[in-house]
This record gives sequence, C-alpha cells and structure tokens, in this order.
Amino acid sequence: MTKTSTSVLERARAALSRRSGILLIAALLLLWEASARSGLIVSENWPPVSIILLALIREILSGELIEVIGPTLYRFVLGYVIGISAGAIVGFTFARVPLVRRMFEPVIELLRPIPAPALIPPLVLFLGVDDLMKVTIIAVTAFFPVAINTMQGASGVEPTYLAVARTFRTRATRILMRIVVPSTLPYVLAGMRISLALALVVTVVSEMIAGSSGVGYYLVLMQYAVRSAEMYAAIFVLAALGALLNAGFVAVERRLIFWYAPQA
Amino acid sequence: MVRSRRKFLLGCTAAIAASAVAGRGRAQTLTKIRVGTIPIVDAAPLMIGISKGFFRQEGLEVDTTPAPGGAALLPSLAAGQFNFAFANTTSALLAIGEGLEFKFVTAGCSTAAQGPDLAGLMARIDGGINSGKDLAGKRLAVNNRNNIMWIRAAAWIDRTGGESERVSFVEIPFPQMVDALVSNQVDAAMVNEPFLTVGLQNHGDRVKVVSWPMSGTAPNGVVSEYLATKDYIAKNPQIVESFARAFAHGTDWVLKNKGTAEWEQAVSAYTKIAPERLRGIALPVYDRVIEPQKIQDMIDLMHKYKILKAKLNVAELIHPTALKQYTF
Repeated sequence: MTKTSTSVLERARAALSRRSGILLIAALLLLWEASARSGLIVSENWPPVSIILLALIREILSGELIEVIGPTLYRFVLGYVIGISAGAIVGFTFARVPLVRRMFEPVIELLRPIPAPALIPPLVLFLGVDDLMKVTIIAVTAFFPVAINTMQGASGVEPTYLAVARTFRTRATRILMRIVVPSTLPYVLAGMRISLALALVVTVVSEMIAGSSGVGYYLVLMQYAVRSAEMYAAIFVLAALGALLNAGFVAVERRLIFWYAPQA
Repeated sequence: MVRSRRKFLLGCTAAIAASAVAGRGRAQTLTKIRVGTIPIVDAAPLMIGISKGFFRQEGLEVDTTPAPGGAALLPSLAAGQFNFAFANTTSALLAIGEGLEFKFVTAGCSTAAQGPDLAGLMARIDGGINSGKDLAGKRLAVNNRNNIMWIRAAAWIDRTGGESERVSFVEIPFPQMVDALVSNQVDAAMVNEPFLTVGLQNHGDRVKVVSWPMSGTAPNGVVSEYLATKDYIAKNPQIVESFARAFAHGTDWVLKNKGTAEWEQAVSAYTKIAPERLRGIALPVYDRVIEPQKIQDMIDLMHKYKILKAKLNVAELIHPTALKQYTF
C-alpha cells in the first residue's frame, strides 16, 4: 500500500521534473497574462499573452508572418554559410601555414572584438541598405567564432598521432582526412554553434536599422504602428526559430561527430 | 507578333497622351527611382501618390525603403543608395551644414497654427511641470537629439522662463516615451502622434499634455521636406521634375481627402496603424510649396542653438521644383 503510493508519487515527481522546463515557461506566461489583465502593468507595450497568441494565429493564417520570416531566413542562411565557410578555411590555413597566421593574426585580433552592429553605419555607406550589406554583416559575425575555433582545433592535433602516421609513411591526404579533420571537426562545430545564435541576432538587428523587409523591420514597424501584440508575435516566432535552429544543429552535430562525446 | 507589339506601343502612347503628360516623352518604360522614407503619417503624399498611380503617370516607378526612425536615410542619400529622401528640416540642414550636398526638391509638412499639433510636451499630472522653468535639472525625453523635436522643445523651454542648457535631454524612441514618463524614468517627453493620444487613453489619470512646443514656438513652422543630392539633380533634371509633380499630385489628393474613410484606409495601408487609431489624431499640415522664409527661420534657430555653424543661403538650398505650384 505504502509502497505503491510512494512509486506513484515518485513517478509524478519524475514526470514533473521532466517537464519542469515547460512548466516554468507556462507559469511565466500565466504571470504575464495576469499582470497585463489585472492592471498591474498598464502599457501599450505590454499586451496580455492571450492577445499576442491571437495575433500570432491571425498573422500566420494571413500569411503575413511567413512573408516576414522568409527574407530573414534567406539572409541568415546565406550570411551564415558564407561566414562559417570562410571562417573554417581561414582558421585552417592559419593553423597549417604559420607565415599566413603571423601576417593576418593582428588584423583578425583587432577586428574580432568589434560588435558587428557597430559596423552597420559605415557599411551602409559602402554596401547600401539591401541584402548585400545585411548578408555581409551576418557573414562577418559568423566568421570569427568559427575561424578562431578552427585555428585552435587544427593546431592542437595530437602530435603522437601525426608522428605515428609519419612512421608508417601515411600519405599526406590520408593524414589530413583521417587525423587532422576528425580532430578539428568538434572545434569547428562548436564555433559554428556559437555563430548560429550570434548571426541570428545580427540578422534581426541589421533589419531593424535599415531596410524594408524581414522580422527586424516588422518589429519596428509594428511598434510605430501601436500594434505591440503583432510585435510580440514576431518575437515569439524568433524564439521558436532560434530554438529550432539550435535543436537541428545539435542533431546534425551528433551524427557528424558521433565518436566525440563531450563531458555530458 | 510585331504588329501586336506596335499596337501595344500605340496603346501606351495613347494612354500617356490621355493622362496629359504627352510631350514629356520616354514614358513607355518607367524610370525606376528609389526613395528613402519613414512609414509615418507625414509621408502620406508620397505613399498615397504611389498607391494612386500618380508617379506612374509621370513615368516613374517608385521603390520606397521605409526606415523606421530614419537615422540611416540621409547617409544613404549621400551615398547614392536613394535618389530622394525624406527628412525633418533640422536634420537636413544639419547634414547640409556638415558639407553634404543636398537640396530640397519638394515640400513636406508643417505644424498647425496652434495646438493640438503633431507632437506635445507631456508630463505627469502630479509632476509639477507646467513651464520650461520647472524643467531645470529635470529629464526630458526626445526621440533624437539635434532634430526638429529637440530644437522646438529647447526653444519652448527658453521661451517659458527656463534654460534649455540646464535640462538633460534623454533619447527615447516614441513608442516607449509614455512608459518612461509613467514609470518616472523621465520628467517630461516630446511625444508625437499616435503615441500621444494612445498615452492619454491609457494613462489619462497620470499624464497630461503641458504644451505644444511645435506650433507654440513656431506657428506653421516647417517640419520636413524631401531632398536629393545636387549631383543627382544636375544629372536628372527631368526625373526630379516628374517626381515633384507626382508628389504634388499626392499632396493635392491628401489635402482634398484628409480625414475621410478612404484616407484612413490609405494611411493605414502603409503605416499599419489601425484605421480607428488614426481617427481624431492631430495631423501635420501638408504643404504644396516650400516657403523659403520658414527654412530661414529654422537656420536662424539652429545658429542660436549652435548646432549649425555654416552660413547657409536659403535660395541655394531650394530647387525650383519645391517652389512651383502644380495644378491637377
């Protein structure tokens, strides 16, 4: 009797702890709803969650949000792919060719700490306010974490492996493909994951400053149109998009470097 | 095939003749122009002119880039990203004073002769702020420093017994101003429409409009114009003329239809503001032509507030299209 009741309790507790993340989100949203409905917070910029969800459904059904997200995703993917590709190539070259590294490292180290949004005003002057400027700034953002990580990964290849390979007179391409790339890949992927979140942020920021399409533009437009429910709806979509991209990335990462088990 | 094409071209020519722009020529293919603007009520003549086809009639296909906030507009115009750009008079003159080669090509809007107008100085009801004098050492929210709102607020402070130098101006975007005021982050705010009306609806028990610094310090004063670079004007006089004419047509429509249901729909279409929110808000005065004296007044004001040092000759800043009375 007592035994079953304990197990029921334990199971409930286990279920609760499994879903605790979702429950917390639900609780926070409820708190939001209550604070807006009760008049605790009265502001045009704080609509109840229920109103936001209605706006979200309406904007999805009308196709408006899809239209808004399309250009954002396009710029993000294009800039991201260019940025991480360039980052991986540059990082790898730096690690393998010390002369190039000595030449370019000071430049990279100087540019790296500059927040990408700070570069937008000068870039507008040279690249305009269209996709070219936005994709460039996204690519620059995605570039650095991957370049730095790749460099570290590629120069940190276990020397013993290389020595053993050389002892067996393994061909250079084989050394590259079987030793260098596999031991660098986890670093490259870690860099790519950092870039993913940063690039998404910069995509939206670049759209907020200039241009006429995308989620960033929509956020500002809706604020100025006194339609904050629609603005939050777009923010919710962004949150979902970010979580989805990250989950997709983790799934791909697991397959690519299945042998590499981090501490977790 | 050839025949049908000729027929099509003939049809086009006929259509152009019918729309009374014959002789202007070359209108079979539309000239693409790019205009930087802000999606606000002030931009109505341009945006409605586009949706009503007035620019097409003049042979122009307009691609607008609405930049909320507008900070990137003038640099983009200077860089040649836009052919024309909307700007408030103060920011435009500031840019010209800094050496950017702009000229006014059409009028924009002005304030009303008296309040309520498009922006009011708001404060908390219990805040004790009733004049510029009361603002000494206090925080006043403006959307940008050194723009039209800022300079009119400063002028109002000095005119009502205060010293604008002793007021700390805080930059806050329009949509957040009333929140900042209600939560005591600022003591007063230069709030424009529709945020002013919405703020009074939500917090009428806590905030009030103290004064209307725009019309209060400069009745019918200038607010905004459209600009192009001298280089572009010199190279494309015909396009500038067509732009000004189409724009004037838009202004004409706006002046005749302001306040109607069709007007609400047309403004709502590009601002995304719900039509019912547009009802009853104070609108800017849409100008057909620029009055040079009003620009001169602004230059003088900017000299007084030391944000403009260069001596500017008004006559040189205004392209003839901005002074021409077009009729439709």
